[in-house]
Amino acid sequence: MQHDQSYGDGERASPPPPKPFTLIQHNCLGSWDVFRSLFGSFTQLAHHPSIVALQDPPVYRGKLPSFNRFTVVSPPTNGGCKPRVAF
Amino acid sequence: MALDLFPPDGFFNPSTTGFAIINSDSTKGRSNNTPSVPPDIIFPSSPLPSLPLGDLNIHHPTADPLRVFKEHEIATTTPYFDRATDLGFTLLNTLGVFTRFCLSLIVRPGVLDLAFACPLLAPFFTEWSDPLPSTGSDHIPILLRFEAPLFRAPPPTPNWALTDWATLETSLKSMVIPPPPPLPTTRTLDIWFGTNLGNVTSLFAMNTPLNRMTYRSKP
Repeated sequence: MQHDQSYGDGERASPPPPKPFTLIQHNCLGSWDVFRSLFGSFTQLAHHPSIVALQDPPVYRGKLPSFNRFTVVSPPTNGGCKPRVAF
Repeated sequence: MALDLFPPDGFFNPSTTGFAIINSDSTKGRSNNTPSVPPDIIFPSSPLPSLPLGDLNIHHPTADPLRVFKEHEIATTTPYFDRATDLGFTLLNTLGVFTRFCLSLIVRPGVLDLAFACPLLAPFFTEWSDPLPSTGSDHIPILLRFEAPLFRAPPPTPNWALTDWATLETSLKSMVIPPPPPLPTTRTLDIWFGTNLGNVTSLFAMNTPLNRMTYRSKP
């Protein structure tokens, strides 16, 4: 049974606890399809993850992928070297 | 690659001002099968609390207790777990749950995607799971969850065994619930439902004492 907040909770009200920190880790095999499938599946989660740690992310013309509401963080792709990981 | 994070309120604890996520994708060397990312990179002896994770490409009995290992696998991967142990890191994986299923089916499934937490972060770890469907990769997506500890006991719950059902039944029978709005909108229907649910709930609350926190609690 889900707890009913109206039971004896009023007197001891306190600030809500911090939101959980969730993180997804995944090896994309350098594939855009895998990347899109991963981020598309976040709709099945109650909350989007705070951070996504990718291994072998897909790269196109030196650019890493991005997705709605997520900012990509990765090492610079200088010298044609493909980054092995990204956030 | 390490990502240093400094949340304004700390990481569930004001004294933990920042932490680092160390993301690694290790490949096997062609000559000696040694993973490309060495242990001291994955597990740095940094003062900043750290959360090493990634496809470490190592097989070890600590993560996969039921697997039969080759000698060279043990020899090449033990330094990783030795260093993790020396620095107090905790393996977050659910032991034995495979994280990689080779698409060619000629290689055994393995536990290659690992995550560790340093002693300062480990108390906040609550979940390692794979709730997402396959993405087409031969690795599974893994979810890690960290939550704040309970600084106070959860609120007391109703003790249904002590409910005054006779009084409650009479009250419920005499309760009149008005009909819903004739042309309801989302808001008006929500108000109508919420109001009446609140009335019913408060009747139960009035006739049901609360459980004590523990048997030592005052009644």
